[in-house]
Amino acid sequence: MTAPALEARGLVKRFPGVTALDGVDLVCRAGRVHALLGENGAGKSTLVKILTGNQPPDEGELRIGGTAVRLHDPRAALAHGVSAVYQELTVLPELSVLDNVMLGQEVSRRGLLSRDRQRDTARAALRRAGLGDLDPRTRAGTLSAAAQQLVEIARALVRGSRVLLLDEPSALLSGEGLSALHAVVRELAADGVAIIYITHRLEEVRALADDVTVLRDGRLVSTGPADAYPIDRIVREMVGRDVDAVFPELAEPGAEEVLSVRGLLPAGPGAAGPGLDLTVRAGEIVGVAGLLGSGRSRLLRTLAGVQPRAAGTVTVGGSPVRASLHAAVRAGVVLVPEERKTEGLVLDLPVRANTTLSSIGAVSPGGWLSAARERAAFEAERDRFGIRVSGPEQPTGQLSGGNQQKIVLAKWLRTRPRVLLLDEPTRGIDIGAKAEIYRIVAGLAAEGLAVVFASSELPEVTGLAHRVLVCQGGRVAGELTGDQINEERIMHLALGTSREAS
Amino acid sequence: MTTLTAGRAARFAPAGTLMPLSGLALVLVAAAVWTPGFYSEANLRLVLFQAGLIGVTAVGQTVVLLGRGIDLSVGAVMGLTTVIVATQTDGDGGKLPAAILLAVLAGIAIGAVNAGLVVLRGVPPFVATFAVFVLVQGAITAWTRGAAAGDIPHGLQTLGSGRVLGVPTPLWVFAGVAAVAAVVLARTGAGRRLYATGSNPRAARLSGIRTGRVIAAGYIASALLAVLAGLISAGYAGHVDAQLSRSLDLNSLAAAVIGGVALTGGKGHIGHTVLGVALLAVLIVWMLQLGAGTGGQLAVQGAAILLATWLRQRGPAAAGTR
Amino acid sequence: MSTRGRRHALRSRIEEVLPVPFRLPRVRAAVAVAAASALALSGCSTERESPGTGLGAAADCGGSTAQSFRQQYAQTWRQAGDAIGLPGLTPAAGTQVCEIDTARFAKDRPKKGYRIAFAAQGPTNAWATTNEEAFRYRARQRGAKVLYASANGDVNKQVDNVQQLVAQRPDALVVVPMGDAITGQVRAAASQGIPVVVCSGRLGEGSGAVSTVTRDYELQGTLWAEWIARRIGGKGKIAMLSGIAGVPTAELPKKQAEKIFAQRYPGIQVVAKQNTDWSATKAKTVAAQLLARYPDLKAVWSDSAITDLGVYEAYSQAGKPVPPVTGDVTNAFLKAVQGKDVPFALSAFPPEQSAQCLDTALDVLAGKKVPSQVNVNSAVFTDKQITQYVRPECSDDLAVPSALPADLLKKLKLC
Repeated sequence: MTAPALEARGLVKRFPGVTALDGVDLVCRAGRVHALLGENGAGKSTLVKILTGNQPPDEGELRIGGTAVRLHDPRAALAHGVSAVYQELTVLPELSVLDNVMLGQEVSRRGLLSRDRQRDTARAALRRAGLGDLDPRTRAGTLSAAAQQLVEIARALVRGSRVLLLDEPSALLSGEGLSALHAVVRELAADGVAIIYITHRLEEVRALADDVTVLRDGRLVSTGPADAYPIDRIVREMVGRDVDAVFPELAEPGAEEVLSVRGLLPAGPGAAGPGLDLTVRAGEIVGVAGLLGSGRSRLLRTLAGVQPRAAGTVTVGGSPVRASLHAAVRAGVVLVPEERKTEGLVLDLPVRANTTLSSIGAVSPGGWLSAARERAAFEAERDRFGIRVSGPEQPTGQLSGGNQQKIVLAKWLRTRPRVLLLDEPTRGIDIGAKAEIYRIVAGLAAEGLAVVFASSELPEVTGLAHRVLVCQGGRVAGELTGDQINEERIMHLALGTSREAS
Repeated sequence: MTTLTAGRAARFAPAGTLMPLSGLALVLVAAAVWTPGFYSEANLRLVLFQAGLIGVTAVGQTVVLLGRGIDLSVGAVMGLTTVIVATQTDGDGGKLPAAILLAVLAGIAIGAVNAGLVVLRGVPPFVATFAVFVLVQGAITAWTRGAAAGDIPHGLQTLGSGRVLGVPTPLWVFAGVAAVAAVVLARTGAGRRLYATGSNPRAARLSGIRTGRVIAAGYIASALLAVLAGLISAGYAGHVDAQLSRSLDLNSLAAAVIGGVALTGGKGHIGHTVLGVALLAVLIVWMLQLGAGTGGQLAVQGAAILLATWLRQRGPAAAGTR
Repeated sequence: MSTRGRRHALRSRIEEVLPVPFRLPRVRAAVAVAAASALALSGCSTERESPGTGLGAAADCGGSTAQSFRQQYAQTWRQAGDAIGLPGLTPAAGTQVCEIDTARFAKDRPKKGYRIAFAAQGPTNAWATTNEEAFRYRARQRGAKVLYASANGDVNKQVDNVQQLVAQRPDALVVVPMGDAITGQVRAAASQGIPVVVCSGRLGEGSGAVSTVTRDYELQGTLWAEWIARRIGGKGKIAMLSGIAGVPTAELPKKQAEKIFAQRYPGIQVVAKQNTDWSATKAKTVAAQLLARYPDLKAVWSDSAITDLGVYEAYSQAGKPVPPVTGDVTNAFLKAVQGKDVPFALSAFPPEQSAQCLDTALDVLAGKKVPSQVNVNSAVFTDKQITQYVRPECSDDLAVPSALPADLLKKLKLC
């Protein structure tokens, strides 16, 4: 058997007060997709940093193609054929696709590459990355997130990578973008590239991975061929206990119609058609499914008054709500946005301030900000949601995704909303925290809140909703309730291949 | 991680005030060594006056900076104020209240135009307030045909040249303004809204904060403080100073930035501003004593700003790698 | 308020390093004009293409007319000195005045009058406004038609202005230079046969201008320096406050004064040289610092009464006697110090000199011989004569004494 493309033995990395990696092994073979799994804080990012030469390990050995190497800096990693594509896109939007792909490679070691040679190299890489049809002169900023991700992969290919690390490449993708990504990954593996694939979406493991490694608390839990890893095993090993019920039992909705939408049409290009009719009762949870770009987010943002309406009426508890963010908030319609870090929270402010961000008036009697009241509010929410923080002064940016999301929820619940809109409520959150968020949402519904959430993760939609709306091409393609809700029917509606599409 | 630590350092840790404080100490010591006359009573009084005049506008600038803006129209508003007072009163103290009222209204109007351009039209604050600066300057020239007639009433001289307990009145005014601003920023809902808006305008807006009003209030506050500074300045010179409305007075900006208020919004507090004002005032008077020309003075100020921002960029980055 | 000061703020600093125009480098000694004329023959023959004469215009530096022009020039210096008790002042070293033969520019007066292009500063301050109004007023008196262009204080705009004015084929061009950058355009106008008069300022070499009509900067600097020297008995500490660093209006008088202090008054110690940007506020701050640092300061040499206003404010507020000051004239200063014990000597840079510029242009068109350089007469006086000059009923900005009629001053809101 040939030597593994990449082999790490006994990696240890200590930071002051914490051991981020504690004797981790990882063996990746050429031509195979290796899923690297673990909750946030399990040590995945530290491992990636070591493998890409961004951080030296304190102990341990690294072999590439059988040779022991020391990666002092990212350039050394690149020279050894190890490159990475991160979740946060690093495509330069003002440059052309060609320039982005060739970034850092403009000058070869043999001298100046000719423009034509460059273009040929880039074309080949783009073709391998599944972007063969794309004009290399296109400005990168105009591409979709999925295509930008593929551009980054092409960039890695140009560098002649034998080991490719993909850090949550699917976080921004769904539907077609996701399938395209998977196809490219499979193809690259078939070409003999060793791929390390980090994801929170467990369904991807089934679809893509040949091998699996699970990390927890900086330690290696287990590793082996993907066949040996059914979802429940992965979850159990990641969380460290049985998560028998990721999705909680849903209470029966009440009878009162809280939210009523008639003919709602988001403003924007192609705003036409009959618009959305939707009624949500107290205690009801409505899931909105659909591919990326199907209008899921736009629908929620229009409901919340963040984006303008072209037509339609929204009433809450029988009173009409004007198309403005403030009118919506006053009427009790609040949005937990998809972009938690840029739209949901002010990361520089301490957690206490974010908890009261939407109810500053309530903790400022007569305009005077009351530290005591704010503290009390923060403590109440911390206890209610089990938010893990070191104290009220901790900067919000230091919290994990799950705890950040809980703060966003807490922020809004302090305003006593009637309709809770959630856009991708568990994006980038690890599985244990996901279950907590689901429980919180179900609990809020049981208390009488009307909930509408949009998600690209089908298990979430099927598991958490009383009712599912499926969007396609900017309008609602169908509605599923009760036993009708399953992933297959949702996909058919989302792709427009369903016979029962209404 | 970097921005995070920077944010914390700026607002909570004493480290944020350490640099301007040590800078101030350094300059004071250097002045003592090189220029013995620096610590004469008359000279210190000049430092305090400068601090008062710069400080009043620097507080306004701080409020705007915290809201992720910048106000380049400060100098024009100061100039306009002196012109209004001179033309409307022509030295008659009885007409002073009416003239001040007019100047205040003009200040509000200018602040509102700044805010309108920034909030409603989405013009970058740098461009909007610079355009307003040019506009106001042009309006002054057109209105007065370059010749601002009129006299400054004697009543204003108390504000600009007077002393209370041996300390120039402008410094007391600055102290009052700074105290009020410090309380508002740290202890009121309005202050919290401003910090949230400056740190992350999108999140603040989506959290239901009326960010437009917050930003507008900042520009109007800055313009009103510029009117106050204009009154002080008129009282100091005792005459209309046409030069004043023509200079793009960046002392307020320099003071805030040297003190450590971030140009990127949401970071800094009045303590920073006060230190920056003190440092700048000492620097300006010391440069005068050294006989540095206007060019030299500007160069030193620029160097101080660069040094301050450079140190701020570096400090947190070094600490942020843990 | 700031009189001519701002006008030159935008002037190119290049002018500083260029040789000052109209000077004969070889004539070094501080000689009187009469002495200079003896050297004139050899001097001028090699200086045919020199700044004052420039392209084409025939210059004669040795003839009897030239000599009388030189005497007239020297006369203006003498008169200015006599006015404040400084007898026997002679033009600065290197001042060259020649006779320009303007025959080739002579043309008959058209029925509607000569068309004179006026490239002005633009109404950016009271001085400039008055400068323009005086030109127009004089043009109406003399029946000339004015083609006007405002540079708005900007030399780049003036480059365009001159180009556009020349395109209208005026009979003559009068330009109030905003900076040396217009030299090329002025030369282009001259080469097309349009006589150019440089007004209230100077241009660098090779402008091709027929004549330069302005108040002599060296005279200003000399008057202020000599008066201070006499006032303090030739010894003691003084400070020099000039306007904007690098601007000719500030630098030329300062340079002249420095030379005088250094060469003639070893007992005078210049302890501080500072810029006030012609801002009374800045001047007050500077003066407040000066009086703290140098309690024994004997006098303040300054190029502007605006600066003096700040000096007066600072000293009077500190309860100290105001030291002797110098500068140009503003009504604001006179109003402020009237009845107070403030010793001063002022020499105006009158905005109305534009009228004399127009007259020179018309002389050229009439074919009369003109001097290559005209020193504009202006009011020179001390605190003893303040009542003759102060106009309490008029604006602070009025350039006193004003030659303009009362109704025009009223229209300009200056009185």
